[in-house]
Amino acid sequence: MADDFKGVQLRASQYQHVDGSFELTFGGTFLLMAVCYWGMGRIAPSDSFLSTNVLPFAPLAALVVGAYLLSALVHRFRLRVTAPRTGYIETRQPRPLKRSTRLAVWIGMPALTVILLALLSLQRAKFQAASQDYVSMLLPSFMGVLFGGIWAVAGWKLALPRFYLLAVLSLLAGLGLFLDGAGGDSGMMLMCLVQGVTLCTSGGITLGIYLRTTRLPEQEEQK
Amino acid sequence: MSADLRSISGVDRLIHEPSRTIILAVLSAVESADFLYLQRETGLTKGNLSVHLSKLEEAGYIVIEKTYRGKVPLTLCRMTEDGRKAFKEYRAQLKSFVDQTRT
Repeated sequence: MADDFKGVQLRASQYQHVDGSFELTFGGTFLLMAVCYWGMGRIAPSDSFLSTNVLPFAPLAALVVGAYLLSALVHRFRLRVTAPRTGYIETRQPRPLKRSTRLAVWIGMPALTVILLALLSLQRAKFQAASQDYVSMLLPSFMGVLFGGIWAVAGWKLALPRFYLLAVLSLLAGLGLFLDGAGGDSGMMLMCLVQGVTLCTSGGITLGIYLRTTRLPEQEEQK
Repeated sequence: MSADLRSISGVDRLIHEPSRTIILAVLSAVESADFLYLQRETGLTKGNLSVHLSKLEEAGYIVIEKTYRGKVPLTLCRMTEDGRKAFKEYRAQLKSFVDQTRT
């Protein structure tokens, strides 16, 4: 019974990923960010207001606005396509963290940030000698490793093997950019492009299989 | 027969019916679920599911809400606190019985 009960819980948590719309949303957002980075690379750097104050925040804006618009679109899609086929559920809110864990997060995160900033400030001369733009050079690789980890954890928690493949591709892309030395806007554009294309492909294939295999109840009754 | 073994006779008979146990197991894993999701998960027919849901609603273990998401009408089933408590107790009783009779 315990195994069956876990199976029920697992299927409930997999519900959000049954039609691939999660990957399509994230993939779409990454593609929007890739377009922003591509645009930033095309516009010659200058001291204009647009170049110094607006453009650097364009990818962040694309992330927030894109995620909001696409998730609204996905919500409508789920109501019209997924709910009539699989049904509709509202997932349970995760249990609130224990007081000790909350304290550890609230104290630990700022403390870690302060320590990191202090270390960076102490080593500033070394970093400047190595590269003028050290952080932006490593950012795409870091993003690849970070998302590789996120997809691997998602694959493990949801027991969905396709997320492991996404994790491997993300890690490979991060490693590739690190070895190639592609950083800055072009590196970020490539990383966002890789994430966007892989997520959209995975989401598209999942959606295709879902629509082929899960029919509307009326269609099943006719069959 | 020991008192621990006899405890099985005290299980909630309303929950101790396979179809209703499955319904409550599904509902305990989510905040709420609509009729179709429950039907797919339990494998029950519409009529059977309706009857069992009515019984669980009468007992106060679940509430059935007729609502809308956008323009789409939805019948959502939600487990009540009493329902969660009763189901937790039922699982504990069953587990205890299984542990006692393990050879």
